[in-house]
Amino acid sequence: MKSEIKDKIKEQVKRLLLSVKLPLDNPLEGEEEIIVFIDKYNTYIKNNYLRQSFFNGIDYDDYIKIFRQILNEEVNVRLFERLKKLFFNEITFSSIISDNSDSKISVIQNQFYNLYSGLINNPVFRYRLTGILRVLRCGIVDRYCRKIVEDISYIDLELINKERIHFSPEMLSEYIKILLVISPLVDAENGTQFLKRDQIYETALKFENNINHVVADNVYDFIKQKVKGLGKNLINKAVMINSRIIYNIDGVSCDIRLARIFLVLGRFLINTNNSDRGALTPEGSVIKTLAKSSDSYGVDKEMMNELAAISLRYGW
Amino acid sequence: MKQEPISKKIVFIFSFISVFLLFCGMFIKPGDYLYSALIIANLVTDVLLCIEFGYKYFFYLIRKKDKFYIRNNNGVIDILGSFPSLLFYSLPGFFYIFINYDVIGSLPGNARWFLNTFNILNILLLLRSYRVAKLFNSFYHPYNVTGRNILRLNRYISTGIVVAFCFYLFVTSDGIDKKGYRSRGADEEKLVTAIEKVYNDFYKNGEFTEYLKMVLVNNKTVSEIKTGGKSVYTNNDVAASGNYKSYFKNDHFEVYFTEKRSVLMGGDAGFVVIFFILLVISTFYREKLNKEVIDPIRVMRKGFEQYDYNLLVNIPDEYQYSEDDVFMTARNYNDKWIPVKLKKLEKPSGRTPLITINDFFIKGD
Repeated sequence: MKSEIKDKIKEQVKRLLLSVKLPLDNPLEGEEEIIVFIDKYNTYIKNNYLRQSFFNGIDYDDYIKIFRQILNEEVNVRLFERLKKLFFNEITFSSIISDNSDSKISVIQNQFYNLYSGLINNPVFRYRLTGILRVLRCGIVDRYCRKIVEDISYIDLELINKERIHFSPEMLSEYIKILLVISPLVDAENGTQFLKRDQIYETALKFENNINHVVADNVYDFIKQKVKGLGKNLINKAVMINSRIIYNIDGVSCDIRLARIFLVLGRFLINTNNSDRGALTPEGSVIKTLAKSSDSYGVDKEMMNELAAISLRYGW
Repeated sequence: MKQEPISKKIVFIFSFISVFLLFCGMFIKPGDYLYSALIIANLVTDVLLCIEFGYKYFFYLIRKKDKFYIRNNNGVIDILGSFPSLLFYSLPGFFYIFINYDVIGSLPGNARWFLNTFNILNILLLLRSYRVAKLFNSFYHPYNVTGRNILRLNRYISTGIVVAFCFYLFVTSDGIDKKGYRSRGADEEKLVTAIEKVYNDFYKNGEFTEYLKMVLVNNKTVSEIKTGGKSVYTNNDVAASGNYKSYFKNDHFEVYFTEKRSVLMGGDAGFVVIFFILLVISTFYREKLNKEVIDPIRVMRKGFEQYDYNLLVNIPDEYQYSEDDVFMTARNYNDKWIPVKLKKLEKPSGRTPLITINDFFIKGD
């Protein structure tokens, strides 16, 4: 009886994840949508659930418990595939290690993949990863980094003058992606409990407000054991981009500030495919709005304005 | 009430054909071999337009919306564009050509005097230019802001132009001579002099008719000449009803003229002017109206109504600092309202999920 119901719920979950409204490329987004839906309309779903003759065998609380368990499993299957694609195809890691032979790179790729696989059931880690995978899905890093370098913008000049580094477009977007990918690795534990989505958000927010160099050093110690060959500077930077008060710190290097922008964008670019006549594009709207209230999100106002200008210029 | 009595497509086809016939009327003059075809086509269109008006009016009347129809939904244009043309142009023309009965000519003297003197027939024909407004209006809906504005503008502008041309026609009507016929213009005066000369030279010889034909070859203003009550010259090509006759008489002969100049200046010029002004309005003006008023307001409305909607109004560069009310509101919306909304959307419970209950449980689950 119970296994029969489990099969039915499994089918339901699979159908939901394949829904047209959810992006196929990022399973975590689909999971987030479904969980937000369950959190928000709990009683509504319950009323509807009682009308379904299909699930007669079990009561509602058990149903939700089984549903979330199966959802977690199904998403994990898809997420592993996505991570494989991310670490073995999309990011090359050649720019962060001095000795970039193929064997060394494949070692790093495997180490990252294993590190991620170990943390995957931590709900806060999942929350952070959702935004990052969303940014990578939109292709926003590649597009904007290309224009930042090609148009010789304020950001590019900052990078050249203050950091003394001159990136090609590909290298810049690669570098930003690596910072983004390391940034969620700030929790060592692998939690399993199902928190409510808002609790997860509160936890992540609390962490973002309390980052300092001690935390960064702890994270470095943790990552050092799992992934060999990463510099302390790089990991410190990657941790710092999580900080919400980063803009108030003087002398924060501009690669951190730029990566921070993409991290924040990942949380807001939720529904990016519908535009309206007389309105800015969804992407441009979010960027421009964030530029207006840059202080509360810890993003650089000048850089945001720059990106807003780029999005207006190219109609993105 | 969203439904339309007659579908937009049919109205568009009707008005397109009627405007096309107006265009043809500019090139096909009485005497052309296509003229009878034009008269028949005009008759059919006029009858159809009258039926359309009647049907629409009845439709709105039984829903007690007739005042709305007359005021806001092209009712005036439908009336003025259909009945006068049917009564004073197509039907008389049809009778004249196919039954050989001159309706206007057989009117009592006073009525004809009235029509002739004040150019009333031309003024009535001018009302056909309202069909251009009907054509352009068939793209719009009176129930939304753009549609209502452009319908109103088209109605006002075409009415203004029609009234202006009516005034022009009235002022340029040449006046009255003693017997109630129109006096002659300069061209007609020349013709009369030529005819008088021919009469003096050749009437006694009995070769008057032949010489008249030589003088009046290719002439399309003289329709008939009589001496002593007998017709000596008729130009069958020219004679067509609706183009009433002016008249000259002396002791020896009478000359009947057709009249074309005022028709051209009144009807056709009014039609062409209305056509191009409305063309400009429904392309360039509509674009501007949408860009500067309608679209920003629509975006803002969505932003206030829908919980998740966070698109900004696109304020064009030239209005970035303008004190236009619409863009002032839009700037406030962009700078104050949307950031507050976005802050709420960061929290997962703050936004509406993309999936709905129908995705969650489909029937059969």
